[in-house]
Amino acid sequence: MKELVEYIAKALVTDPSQVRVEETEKGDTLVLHLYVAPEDMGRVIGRGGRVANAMRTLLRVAGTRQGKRVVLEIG
Amino acid sequence: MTEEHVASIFEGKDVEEAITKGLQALGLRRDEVDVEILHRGSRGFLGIGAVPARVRLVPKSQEQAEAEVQTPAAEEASPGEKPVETYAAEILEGIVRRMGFDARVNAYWGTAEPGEKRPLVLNIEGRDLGLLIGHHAETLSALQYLMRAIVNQYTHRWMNIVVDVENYRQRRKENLRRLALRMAEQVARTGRPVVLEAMPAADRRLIHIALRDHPDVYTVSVGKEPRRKVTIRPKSELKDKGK
Repeated sequence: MKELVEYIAKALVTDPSQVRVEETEKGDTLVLHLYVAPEDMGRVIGRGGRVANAMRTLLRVAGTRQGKRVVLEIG
Repeated sequence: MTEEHVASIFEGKDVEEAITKGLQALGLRRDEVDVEILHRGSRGFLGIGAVPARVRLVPKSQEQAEAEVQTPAAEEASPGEKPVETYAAEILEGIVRRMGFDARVNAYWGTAEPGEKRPLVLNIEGRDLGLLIGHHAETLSALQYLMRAIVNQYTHRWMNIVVDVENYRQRRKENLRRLALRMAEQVARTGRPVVLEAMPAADRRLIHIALRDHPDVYTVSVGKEPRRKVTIRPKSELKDKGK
């Protein structure tokens, strides 16, 4: 799950070296915290949050297969 | 792969028409090409001795690609010299594998719809990929949206990227077309409108297009997203109202 977010984020940003994902587990919920360089924030969130929501859709599908609920937070 | 060498010459009765024809043939928009006017054309006298206008259209992407080849040092830290097809296929394969699917991605240039850019189709192939499509193709749309953002970042220009799973979009297109024609025939026969099930905008668009020139029916969308539905109605009711 963490690798998936890292992989997508690195492809979206101008500065992949600043991409970092922290993972915490709360019961059956997995919380992923994505950090990127300030100038890349817009690229991982997208207009109206559409990029972030697209990532959340993929995480939901991937999570379902592992019986987990995944929450993505940015910044 | 196939986008090279498409600088082309087009003719029309005036410059504007020649450009329009060219853009249609290339499937590009006006701001995506550089226009070189070869001949302004002349109407002649009473149509005698008329000379068509002639223009050369050069897609800007091609020029940019050439410029990049000439100055490779300009983009020092760029991800590399990979062609966009290869890059896009690799990234998408990386994403679906990290989602836990065993799949390959096949990239090819599709055919352009009128007024649209030629699409780079990324078709995901493998077994049990239904989840990658999702309810109302929601997952497929998410993959496509992300791939557009990722490829834009790579090429620094807008590209028409289409993400598909086992040619689902193509099959869906044909099925919707068949459904539209079958329902239209029923509406024409009974004179009663038919309301189709709720579907996303892209699917509704296909229904509208399929029945655009139908002699006996017309289509309207009713309701609010995401429950918006196409209604197929008989044209005869329009005439009745007119009386």
